[in-house]
Amino acid sequence: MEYILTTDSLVKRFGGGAKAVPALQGVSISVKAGEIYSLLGPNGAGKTTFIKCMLGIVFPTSGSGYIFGDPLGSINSKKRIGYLPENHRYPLHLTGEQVLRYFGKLSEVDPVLLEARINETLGLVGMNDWRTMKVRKYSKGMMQRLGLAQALINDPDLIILDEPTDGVDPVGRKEIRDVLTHLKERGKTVFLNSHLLSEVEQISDRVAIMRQGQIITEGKVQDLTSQKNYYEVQIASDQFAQAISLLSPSSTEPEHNKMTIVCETPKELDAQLDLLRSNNISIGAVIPKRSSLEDLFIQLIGNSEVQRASVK
Amino acid sequence: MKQFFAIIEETFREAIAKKTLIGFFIFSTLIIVIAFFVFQSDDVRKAMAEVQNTSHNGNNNADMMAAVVKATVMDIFYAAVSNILYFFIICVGVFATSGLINSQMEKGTIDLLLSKPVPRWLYIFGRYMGGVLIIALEATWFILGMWVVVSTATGMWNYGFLACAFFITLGFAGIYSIVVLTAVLSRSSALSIIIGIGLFFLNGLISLGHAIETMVASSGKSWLTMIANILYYIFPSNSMGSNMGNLLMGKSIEWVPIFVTIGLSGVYLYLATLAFSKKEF
Ligand SMILES: Nc1ncnc2c1ncn2[C@@H]1O[C@H](COP(=O)(O)OP(=O)(O)O)[C@@H](O)[C@H]1O
Ligand SMILES: [Mg+2]
Repeated sequence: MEYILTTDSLVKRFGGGAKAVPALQGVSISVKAGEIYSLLGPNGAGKTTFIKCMLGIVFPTSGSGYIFGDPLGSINSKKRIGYLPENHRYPLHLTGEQVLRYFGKLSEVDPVLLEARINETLGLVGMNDWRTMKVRKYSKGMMQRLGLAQALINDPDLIILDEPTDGVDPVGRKEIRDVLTHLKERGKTVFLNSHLLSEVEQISDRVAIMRQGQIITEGKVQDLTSQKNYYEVQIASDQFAQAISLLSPSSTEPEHNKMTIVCETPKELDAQLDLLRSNNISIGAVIPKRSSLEDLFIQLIGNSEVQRASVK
Repeated sequence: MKQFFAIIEETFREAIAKKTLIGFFIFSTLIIVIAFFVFQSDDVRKAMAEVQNTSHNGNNNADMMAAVVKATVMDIFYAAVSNILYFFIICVGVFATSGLINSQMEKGTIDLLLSKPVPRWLYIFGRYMGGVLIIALEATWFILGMWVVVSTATGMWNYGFLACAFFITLGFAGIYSIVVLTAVLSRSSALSIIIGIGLFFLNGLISLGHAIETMVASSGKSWLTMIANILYYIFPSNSMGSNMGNLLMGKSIEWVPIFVTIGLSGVYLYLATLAFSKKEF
């Protein structure tokens, strides 16, 4: 399959000397045409910096990368990219459709097609009713929708989104996910940044998890989450404490007499169950649980960091 | 080219939204209206008529003398007005347009702009040209209005006064290139105003001092002469005022400062685009 975005050992340090901030420490990523690729990680991991390197907003300290065969940040590649930045602002004196017209012209959209593109993108993000309202009066959710429309104005082949569902209500989030799925169906490639794992898990084909400027794991969502098998085991209440001491489960739900155990192989599960049986503990139920990306994420970057990230 | 015009258009929209364009317009119109009433007032009309009468008393010599006096008075008047407008428009213009650069570099705005397939220099160049165009319009309106008011009152149509709009715009373009460079380097529009107007006045004072010195003292080179000579080639917009005087009094125009100003504006603008292209956001 064709890779449309590749980076090779991308390094970015902000500032110099002892105070230098190593935002990216050798990031190599390959994104295939037509997939939804998510970059996950806690705040400050370097996700935004990575995107800025791709668009030439900051310049990598070392390493290289290509988008559509052109070096990172080239004008040529930007013709086929749509970008929704993390904190995007528009000229407050413009209306929604004026914003799209302005960015459409900057993106060299064919003037004959521009008005049709404006109608189409506004319709796609559900902003038709507010197209003649000044951006000054937009709510955060409306801004995010306009931002998405703006990113799509040039009918890009690669859409890059930085925390697209940030500050959007649950309904709006669902709608944004639907738009992204719709784009994928039309053969577009989507690259997105998020610290909200549950958001991207459902729609991503592949994910990479970033921590302190490094990719610590990357792969298909199914492959990553099936590295370990989780089982929910139900025990009679009077034997629950004894069972915990035997199995050392990864999590427990005492009120339901349930615990979750982790087994790398089916044999390991057999051994664990044998252990319970040999101690005369009766097993109510064993239910296989697919580990969610959230679990993996927490395992990989540590609980404390996730908590810190979600507090921010 | 389409991108360039889109940037110019957005520059105008921003200037309109910030009310700088309309503020400038209202103020200049007010001055023009005041000038109109001054020139229509009885006293001024009487004085005008006296000059007119003396020129029709049948005496050829007196006729000619009166015409010369009247023309000279009007030339000096025009030269004074154009120089006042020059200082006024440059100072107010720098205030009105310095923010046009910084608004582009705000977090959230710059990320979007840089993600578009537009070469970075074009944003700076487009904004610069937009700013110059705004001032050109204002200067033209101001000059044209004053010219019509004064000319209809005096019956003397000095077309040279119209060309002052060009000198004012050129003078502004020179100063604005320094303002833009400072704004890009410092990301502070306040500092760019201080530097732009500060250097404009400092340069004006030094060249004024130099001019007085050359009038008074005929002897060799002083430090003032040296500084003035250096500034002449590193600071744009020199001699615009005196050139307007030349034009109005029928003397020949000095072309060197015009070309130096155009050249220096190009250099400072180029440096600004260079700095902007290397900047990270
Ligand atoms: N312009 C900058 N100057 C200095 N440090 C920066 C700059 N931009 C980002 N950083 C630092 O780089 C690190 C990564 O930031 P960022 O890429 O924004 O992370 P994320 O998007 O994953 O939250 C952080 O430590 C941040 O403080
Ligand atoms: Mg970020």
